[in-house]
Amino acid sequence: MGWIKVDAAAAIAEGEFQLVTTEDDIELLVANVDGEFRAVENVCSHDGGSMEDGCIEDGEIVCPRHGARFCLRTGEVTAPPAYEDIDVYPVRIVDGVVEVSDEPED
Amino acid sequence: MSLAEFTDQWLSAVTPQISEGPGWLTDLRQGAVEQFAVLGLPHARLENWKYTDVKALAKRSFTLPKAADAEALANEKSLGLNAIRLVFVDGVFSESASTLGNLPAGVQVLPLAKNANAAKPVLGQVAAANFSGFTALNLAAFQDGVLIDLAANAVLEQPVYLQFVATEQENPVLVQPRILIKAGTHAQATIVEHYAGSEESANLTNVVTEVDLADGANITHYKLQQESTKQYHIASLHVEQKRDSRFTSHNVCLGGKLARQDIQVELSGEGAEVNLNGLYLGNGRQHLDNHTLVNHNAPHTNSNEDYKGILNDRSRGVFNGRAVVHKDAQKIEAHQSNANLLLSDKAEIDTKPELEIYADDVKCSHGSTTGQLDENALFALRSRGIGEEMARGLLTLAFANEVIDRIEISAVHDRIEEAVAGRLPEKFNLKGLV
Repeated sequence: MGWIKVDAAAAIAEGEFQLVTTEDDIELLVANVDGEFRAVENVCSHDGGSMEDGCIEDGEIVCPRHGARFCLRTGEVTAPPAYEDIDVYPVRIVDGVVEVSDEPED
Repeated sequence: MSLAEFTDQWLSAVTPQISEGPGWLTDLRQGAVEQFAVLGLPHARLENWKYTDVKALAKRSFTLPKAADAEALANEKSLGLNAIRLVFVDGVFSESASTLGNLPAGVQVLPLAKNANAAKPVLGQVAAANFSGFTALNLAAFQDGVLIDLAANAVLEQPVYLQFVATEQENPVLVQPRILIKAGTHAQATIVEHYAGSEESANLTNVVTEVDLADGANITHYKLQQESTKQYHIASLHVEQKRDSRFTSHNVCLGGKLARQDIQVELSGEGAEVNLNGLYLGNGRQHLDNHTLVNHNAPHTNSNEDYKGILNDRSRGVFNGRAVVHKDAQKIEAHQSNANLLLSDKAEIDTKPELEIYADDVKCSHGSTTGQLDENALFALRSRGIGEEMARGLLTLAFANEVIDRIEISAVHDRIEEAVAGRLPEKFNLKGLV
């Protein structure tokens, strides 16, 4: 398991997110949820499309196409048309820099 | 950067290659450049690419390959067939590693870069440049490849073994071979395409194969893709069949971080038959995609398709098999089956068999299954004293063997069976059994 540097924690404001890509070509969405950093796979399990054009509402990422919602803490799907959860990736902060793991949580 | 900007970046990387070759070829290439500029790299909004996102691939930069010496690697990875052997290192023909031998009368096997003019009547005749952005890119800038030309009634007893070796490069390379097969009336041949190489290679292979079968021709085509799990592999096989011709494809996909195989078959003459057998086996985070399309354009044509997938860890498989029966193609038979075995909770398959029928007197079937190993079969093996893991391994291999056992060349069969057994989870402990 490796860690990928994302950005300075101060550079990701509350309610915003940044994208990083792992060596395995998995795109991750690293978000600041009420001061807490969380990362999920940037794929909507409904149609397989990416969600970077979506927004964060109440700790959930909202898919821009059909409105599916996923909890950024657990990856759990909270609104249709998606029915499958998405992967969550561990995040840590080292010397003020946000780092995300390249392996998802089990 | 947007996908369009990546398209421009890719085009500028291949620019030196576009001016390679005689005038007619550079004109053809220029046309393909324009097609690529319009099509761009495929994106997930295209139905055919819905489950295979090449966005991450688009962001990568590749350079053009240079002639490299990798004879030792080629010999190590060789299937060891008694065959006419052509070795390509990062897509460039290696004369020293190849053995052409004495070809029978009426058979020509020509490396493309040095014999471009011979390819003029064949190149681009079966594979449309606008099939996808990758097909256009291949025509715009393929580096080398082979032309296999069989005159009427020519029978090639020995298989033609095309070995593509990928090497590890500081800057990953874009390998673009073109394979052209033209079979005259009642000609017969067996072609083996094999992709393997360094475990550290992280190149992109973008290959296009065109097969043109005249009346009564019979071609068997094997493809074994064993590239490293850091490689990208995009391939399309295009087949045009005339009256009473027969084409058989055995497509085994084991390697690649992202591998996509398209097969498009046009059954354009009465009595033409195509058999498509396929096996894909994914581990880790591999993404393996197979898209097939069979067009029944003429009456009394037959197609049989059987693809099997084994997916482990977090790997993802995609299967899309489409058979289209056109209006006047009466009395045809089209059968299609896709079965998948998921060895892990996190593995995924997206499978979509499709039948589109415009004729009213046809026999067609299609089906798809996805599941786990049969607990009753597992119990039967365990009751005979076989440990659980090995029993799971044997059943998994048996599932794969339903496809592998159709391979007629024993050397190819054995090597594929070994390779499949070697790619199954280690805990299955099949070493020494295959």
